[in-house]
Amino acid sequence: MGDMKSVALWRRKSLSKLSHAASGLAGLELAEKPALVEADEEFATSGVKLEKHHTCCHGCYNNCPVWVYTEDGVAVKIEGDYDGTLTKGALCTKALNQLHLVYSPRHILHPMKRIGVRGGNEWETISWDEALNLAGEQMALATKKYGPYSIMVGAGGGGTYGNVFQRVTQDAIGAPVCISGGGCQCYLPADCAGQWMRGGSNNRHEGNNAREMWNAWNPAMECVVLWGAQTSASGAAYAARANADMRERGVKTIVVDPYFTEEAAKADIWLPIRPMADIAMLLGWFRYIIANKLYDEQFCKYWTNYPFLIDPDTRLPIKAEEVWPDYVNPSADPNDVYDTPAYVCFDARTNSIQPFPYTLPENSPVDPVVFCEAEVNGRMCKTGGQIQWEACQEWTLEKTAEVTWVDADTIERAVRLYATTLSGIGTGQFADMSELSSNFIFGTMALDMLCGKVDKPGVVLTEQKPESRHTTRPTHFWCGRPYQETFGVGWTVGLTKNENLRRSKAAVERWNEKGVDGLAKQKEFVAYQMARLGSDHHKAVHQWQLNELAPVRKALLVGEPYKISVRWEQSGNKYCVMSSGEEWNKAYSTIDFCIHQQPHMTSTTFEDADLFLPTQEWLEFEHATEMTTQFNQTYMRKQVVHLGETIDPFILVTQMVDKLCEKLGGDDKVLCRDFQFNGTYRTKEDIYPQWAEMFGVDDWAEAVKHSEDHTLTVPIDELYQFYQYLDIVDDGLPAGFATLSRKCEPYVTMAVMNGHTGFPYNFPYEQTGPQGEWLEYDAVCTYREQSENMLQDDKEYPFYLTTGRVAHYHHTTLRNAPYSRELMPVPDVRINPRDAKRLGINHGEWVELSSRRGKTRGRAYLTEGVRPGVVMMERFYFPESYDGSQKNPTGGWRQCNVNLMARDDVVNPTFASASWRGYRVNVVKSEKPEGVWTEPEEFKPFMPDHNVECNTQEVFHHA
Amino acid sequence: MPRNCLVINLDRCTGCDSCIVSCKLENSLPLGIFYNRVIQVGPTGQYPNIERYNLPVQCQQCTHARCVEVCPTGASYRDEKTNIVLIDASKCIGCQYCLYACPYGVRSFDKDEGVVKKCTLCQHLTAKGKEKPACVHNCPGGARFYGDLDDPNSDVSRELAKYPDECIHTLGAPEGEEPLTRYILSPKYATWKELV
Ligand code: SF4
Ligand code: SF4
Ligand code: SF4
Ligand code: SF4
Repeated sequence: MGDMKSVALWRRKSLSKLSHAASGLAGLELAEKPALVEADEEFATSGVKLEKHHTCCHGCYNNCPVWVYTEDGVAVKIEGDYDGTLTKGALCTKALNQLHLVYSPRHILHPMKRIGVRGGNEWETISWDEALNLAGEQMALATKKYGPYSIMVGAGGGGTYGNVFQRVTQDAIGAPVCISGGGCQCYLPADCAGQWMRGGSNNRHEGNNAREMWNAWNPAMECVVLWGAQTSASGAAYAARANADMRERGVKTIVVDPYFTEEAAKADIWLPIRPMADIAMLLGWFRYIIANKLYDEQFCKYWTNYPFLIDPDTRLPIKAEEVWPDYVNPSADPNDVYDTPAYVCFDARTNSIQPFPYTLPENSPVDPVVFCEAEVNGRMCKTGGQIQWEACQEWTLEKTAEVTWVDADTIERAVRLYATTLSGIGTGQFADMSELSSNFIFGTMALDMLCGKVDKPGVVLTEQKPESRHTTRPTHFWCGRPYQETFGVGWTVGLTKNENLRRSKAAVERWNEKGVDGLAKQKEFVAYQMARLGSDHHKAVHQWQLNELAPVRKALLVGEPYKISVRWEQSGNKYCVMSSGEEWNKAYSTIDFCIHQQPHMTSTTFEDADLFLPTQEWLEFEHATEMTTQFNQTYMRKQVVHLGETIDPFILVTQMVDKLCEKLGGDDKVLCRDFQFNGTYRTKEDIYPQWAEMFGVDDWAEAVKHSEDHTLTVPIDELYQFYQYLDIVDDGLPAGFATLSRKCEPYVTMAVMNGHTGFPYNFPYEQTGPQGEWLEYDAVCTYREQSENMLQDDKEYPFYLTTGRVAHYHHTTLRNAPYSRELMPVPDVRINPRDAKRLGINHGEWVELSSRRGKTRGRAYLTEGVRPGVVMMERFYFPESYDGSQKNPTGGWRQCNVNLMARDDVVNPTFASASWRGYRVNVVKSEKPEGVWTEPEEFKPFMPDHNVECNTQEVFHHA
Repeated sequence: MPRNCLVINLDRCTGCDSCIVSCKLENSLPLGIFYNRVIQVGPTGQYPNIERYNLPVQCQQCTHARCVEVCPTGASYRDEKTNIVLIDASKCIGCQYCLYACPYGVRSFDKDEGVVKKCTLCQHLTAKGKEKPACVHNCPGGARFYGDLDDPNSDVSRELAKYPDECIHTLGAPEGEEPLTRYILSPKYATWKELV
């Protein structure tokens, strides 16, 4: 406990106004504000109530634990919690600035209805009743007129509390169109790769994967490759702190990054790669490791699918029964529930193709050859390993150096260090925002598998939670939501086809028993899934219920294949985080009614919204599961303050769907009303019992008053788990992995099957390509460049654009935080001084960037940290552009918006990832744009406004 | 007398600016006024043969404090009890001599209040010896340390003890200021640059 007296004294002057504002509202929740009260004498007499509350930050997805101090219910100070296992008290600027966000004059506290024209920025405050009525009516109108597909949901983009509430809301109403600035461009590819290739987590360095490098308790890791992971920016407090400790422990780092990031500056080996040449670099590593036999042969033979012979037509591993129809698989489940297939390999002992059943390596009847070709049923077939080898064979060190622009010696030093130490690859998100998303994530995961860097101490690919130990053959469904149980749709990996079919039928039966035609309901659900735009081309968008972006824009503009009438935008500012802003602007103007829910007004509100629904900032937001876990700790997310009528987005979406059903005339008028409750709730009282159970307390509302006493902590020795795949489970076999083959799948069979039929998302139905054909997605890491790349000689657009993160902002958030903006008022355009000199550009001068698609401006930041020919710029928008003081208010997204130059017309085939980076641009000198503040004093209008209704009650209560 | 100061480990600093925002919120500083800044040193050299580091700078607690020497009113003074350099706002006439005398540019003039301000080593938190300065507490890199250089058990002494002399630096002292703040920078990351 800190010294409250001095904190308070220090602040008293500036807070007199706040205390006054707060006390005017005594009698509301204020009087009951709980937690530690340590008023000293002086303060006791002054009557100011001091409290300290424990919660966790939601400035990004890292959930750092914090202490919040309040005086008479007004939050006055946030500090890091020393007991954070890895953060040890660390907090970044984003967390600290919450004090200015929650009391920001831009934090909207009541529902608002637009009056006048869109873009006129005139609003009228309305009641929640009115707001819900209006929204419900408009959605019902659209549903009746055009059907439920006409309601479009916007997700991601920063400032949203996860995505679960959006997904279940779509499922409830049967609205297939959801787009996200992230999603296909952020983490969805990694999520798929982790599940498809090892039935678990992936190698993303930030967040809750890839944490063995931070194992200070039993340190084993010798080296980590940070591949495009700008940890100090994306995990500004959490991962940055853990990495500093990691380096101090002596873990070596290899950093692959075109920009001289914080990580690169401290790396043992930095590979200053040509932007987006990563696939060439990966293939160079593959070749070097295979050619020099630096891979883990035993692991490849028995724990990966590399030795499986692949059918050249279907591109699927051949099953033993396809060659020997009478083959009896010794590992098959006699009950036909769990699936443990036997494949075909070339056996070194007999020099012939042989069935390759799943067994412990020492019990294997074969000695499989990893890299070879063999004749099977009259056709030459390659092993999965061979296919990867052929994809990388030409990538000698010399060629890799030539294409990646890193010298061969440095590459060799890096790959040797990686291959000969306990190490692993931790990746950043960068490739997800490009056409290379699948190539990159499959390649990095497969390299670790090739080298046997899986589920053992000292590697990245580990499953670090006690629940990861198995007693039966591990299985995997792509998400935690019960699609198979409810609709009988989807395939659980690890179960047999018959068992999946049985589960599907059982679901249909359950509907029938309730008097609903189960088969019709199932078909309705599948039709809704398949209606996702672009999902016939890019079937992995189903992983997160997303859509390819360009077809959505087209649907808005031309009403094909269906009309989209209502936009329900639940993210911050899509104009800032997505490409093609001008085109979206036109497309969105076709919308009949646009609802925007956020804590703050953004460009989206200004341009498009008809109705604004205010949600809570994180100091107002209470939760038990959503964004509450960091490393081995799960915190009670406590509502520390509550302003006006802001509401919890989980409650908001539920209330909205209730209203929609009411207007439509019943819950049965939507796809599946109850499905929404797989994640949302009508009121907090409804969900408290569940939260209480999770935290092992009797009464959540009581317990959360002392949230600091209830942090759930997994003991470190239970957290770090290894060799789970070797546990012998109930079928007498080693547990293996929750994949199709029960082994690691560096040859990504799931990607092939997904391309063919949309597997596993629509089973027992199939989603083929637009002409009913199978699409062929890559199964191994295959060379690819961005459509616009740096190898091209492009006189018109001589520069190449890449982006990076900054520690100060997360996605579209915090541009109205004055203490961030005074430090970083506008986006920097990082450019090499030699280029700048040639163009006559000085440090700090304004420049204009243009691509084949659009142009924007930024302020030149001259640095040798970027290669000549490259420019780097971060996303931005300017909430001051629609400040009352502006003569010509605008949405603030046109002046300095790197994404105006980005593209979504060419995408990754599997994941539909658009290119928010990696394209050609030109740079010229320019002028400061209109409506942009750059000087500290200018940000005064963003300074906190404490003259607001503080600590009011929640809007919605249990009936 | 104690020699209290900040020690900053540049091997750990990520240049995130959290120390700046922590300080501003803790000390209710207006827009445009800073007790500390984080300077990017470099990259020097030519891509890709380059190096860089971040240099957070605040009052260095000079042994021979030029600010105190030039202050005509005694507003800038060395506190007898704690031995640290502070400003008594009630005596400050806003002449800003100290601003120009300080070789490190760490003082700000608050136009609204008409007085000069600077880092107080968060005396309101640290005086009782229980709490750390805000910038130290929240530092994401775990790069900032506060304490008495003469106390071998202080956080600053213990952090410095981990490093050989070649990693320990102070800002240049053109007029023998003898700043107390020590910076740790290992040559494997970057070579220390004399900036003052
Ligand atoms: S790293 Fe993320 S969660 Fe942690 S303090 Fe910063 S914004 Fe908050
Ligand atoms: S808060 Fe710490 S890590 Fe961040 S810039 Fe300041 S000293 Fe460096
Ligand atoms: S750093 Fe500047 S303000 Fe601080 S003691 Fe030295 S001269 Fe004075
Ligand atoms: S010690 Fe306190 S006053 Fe000095 S820079 Fe740090 S936070 Fe600011």
